[in-house]
Amino acid sequence: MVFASPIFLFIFLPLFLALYYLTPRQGKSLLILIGSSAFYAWWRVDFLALLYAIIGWSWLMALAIERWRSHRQAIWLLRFGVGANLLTLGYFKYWNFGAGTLAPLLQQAGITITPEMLQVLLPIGISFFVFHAISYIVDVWRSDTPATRNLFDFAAFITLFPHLIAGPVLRYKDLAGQFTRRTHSLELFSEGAYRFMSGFAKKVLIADAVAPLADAAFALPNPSMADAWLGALAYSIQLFFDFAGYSEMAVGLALMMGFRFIENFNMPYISRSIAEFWRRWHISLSTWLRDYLYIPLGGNRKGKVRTYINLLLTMLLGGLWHGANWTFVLWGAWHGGLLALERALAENKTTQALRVPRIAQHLYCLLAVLIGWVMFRAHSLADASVLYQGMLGLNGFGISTDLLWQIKKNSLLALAGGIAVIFLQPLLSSMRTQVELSKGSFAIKTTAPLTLQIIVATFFILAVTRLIAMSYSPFLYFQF
Amino acid sequence: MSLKPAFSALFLIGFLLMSAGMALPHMRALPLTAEVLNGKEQAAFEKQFNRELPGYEPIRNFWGRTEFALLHEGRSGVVLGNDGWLFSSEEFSCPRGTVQNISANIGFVHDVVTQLEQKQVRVILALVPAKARVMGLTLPSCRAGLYQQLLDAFKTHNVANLLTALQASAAFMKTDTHWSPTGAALAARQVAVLIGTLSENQSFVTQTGETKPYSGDLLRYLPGVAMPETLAMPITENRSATSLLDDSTPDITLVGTSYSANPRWNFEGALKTALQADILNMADEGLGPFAVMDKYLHSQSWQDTPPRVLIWEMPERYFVAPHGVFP
Repeated sequence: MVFASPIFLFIFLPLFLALYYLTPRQGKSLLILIGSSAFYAWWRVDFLALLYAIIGWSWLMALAIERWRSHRQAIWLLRFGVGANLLTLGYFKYWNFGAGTLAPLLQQAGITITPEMLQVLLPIGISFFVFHAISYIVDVWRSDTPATRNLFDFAAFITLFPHLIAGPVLRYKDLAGQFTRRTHSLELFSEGAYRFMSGFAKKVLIADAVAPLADAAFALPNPSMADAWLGALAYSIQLFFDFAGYSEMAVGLALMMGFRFIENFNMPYISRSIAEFWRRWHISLSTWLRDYLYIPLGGNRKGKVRTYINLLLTMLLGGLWHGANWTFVLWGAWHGGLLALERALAENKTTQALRVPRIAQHLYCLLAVLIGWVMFRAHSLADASVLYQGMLGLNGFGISTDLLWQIKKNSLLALAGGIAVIFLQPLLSSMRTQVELSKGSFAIKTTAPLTLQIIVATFFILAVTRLIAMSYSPFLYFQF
Repeated sequence: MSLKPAFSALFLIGFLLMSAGMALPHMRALPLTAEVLNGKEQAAFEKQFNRELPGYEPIRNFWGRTEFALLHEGRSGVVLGNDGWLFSSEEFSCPRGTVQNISANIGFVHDVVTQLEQKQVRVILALVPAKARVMGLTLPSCRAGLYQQLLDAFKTHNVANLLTALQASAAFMKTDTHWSPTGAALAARQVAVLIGTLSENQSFVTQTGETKPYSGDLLRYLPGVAMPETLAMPITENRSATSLLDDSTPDITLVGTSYSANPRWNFEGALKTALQADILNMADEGLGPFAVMDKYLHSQSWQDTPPRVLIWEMPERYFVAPHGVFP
């Protein structure tokens, strides 16, 4: 089930919220667990077993860590706890990719990989709920949070449907207190409703409307320079409003239940460096990678060269987390390389000496991010190469007839609207106050002006009707 | 009291109550079967639920009319020309692998024609040009030279060049992918010229039927939009002096797509009239020209009574798609 669907909007959400507010405080965690399980089971009931297995294992391992922490070999509990989660993620997410990649080598060793062996199904949300579980086990090991004896609270945290399938990547320690003590008020509910409607409108009216333009450009066999850059720009807008819109819906849904999630996006396209970009884009993931990968690798505490390697490695693995494809690995390497380069230049005071104008810094960052998104979006390295060749003008310059007939005014309007919203975002943000939840993470905590709420509500209704209209998929009977 | 702290809450609660009230009567319990365990039942239910939503059709039509009126656009699948002319996006798309697909499909046609000719079947290729090409629209690079490429590829076979014939007015329906009965008749005459005179001693006459309003298949991509046109469905009569007991299979077989299978266009009837000979119509809708030929070559009709002449109707746009084989 996804948030932007009639079944969620018209059946699941009203039923769940009604039951939630009718349920006494002591039963709310159980209701969250049942409701969120139903949410997940709408995709597949059988994979609930995997979700519960991850929950059970991680809960038990954390208790064991706390019980035997002082034991000499307690580190193995951490290793088993985290290792089993990683193996699970590795199998479901990377088996097809890994086996397919190694198939030629295995063939030489007499091992044949048949197509049937590459049919491992990827459970939705596994990248998120495994990361939630890993962070819990590590935090217990680090004594950042006590192991909870309340299985229902822990299970409710992992399965909490606002963040179950697409994040934000949360830490149990940030929400633990909220499971036992959280307030419910009309004002908080209203704030959540506003965020939900805003995110919904962004996803449906901007992201979904721009998507066909990006799809058409990326499918061209020989894109021109204009085709390729238009496609890259369209995808940059589509991805941001899809992901940020979804995250905003998640934040809003959580608020409607009294939970305060961290913000996942903070105007990333106004960044002036890749380092700043990663403090504004998918904040929950970048802070997770910092705390559970970069810092354990040594962070910046082991000399310059090792710092650059740690940055590159963290982003490489961060890229791989996004998907099982070499394109994601290269995308991660691109960002890791730029982070290392920026750090090196800053340490040598080169950037200060150059006095690069702010506008140039913005353009550099936008360009670097846009180039990276091409690799991120492409289905293969070969497809990415086609787009890059186009961007360099190797197939001509103007908009090609191959793309022209596919450009819809609807998509262009949505693209312009998306760019306008990005420019307006700093103004809109100045109307709201931010509250820090923990280091590097924050929430927005002011009620939006009434005019803005009315505008958002209007766009929400428009988006709902658009969603219903777009569920109609005509096809010609003779298509094949 | 200020509305600001509560407005969004009240608005969303009102919306959710209203929508749940409308949608809940359409819910049903899902049985605990394997199809529920693997999510298939849920997916099917959701698809049905979306269609049964109250207001689904009016909302769909509202957006269709609004996009058409304000932006002169339809849903993905249709390209809007001037003066109410609609075209299928299938005539414009250039997917990855187009060059290879064209080559593979040309190769398939060569192989089939060779196979048929070895069995003494005379094959006539009726190459239907894209409606967009006939109407003079600018086609993308992979399509621009496609018709000529196909004519050149098949020049050693009997190929009917229908482009010039179909450039006459009213050869295509405005709101449909297909040719009109007039266009089908023009194409039939061109094919008949290629076949020549047949001593069949049969008599077929086509008359124009009643003119009725018609909504073409491309209007599916413009929900709620009305673009009226008319269609006079021809009627072909067999006036041959043959016995009612005469059940001999025709010597001419027609294999093709919906251009041939759909009686609205009466391509079969137009061929009978132009050739003054009976025709066995083995065309089928929804398979494309290659899979339907594959299906025919696996059929009992081909096994038992292969024809003397086979007319293979194939729209040019199918050559860019991966070859679809009849299972």
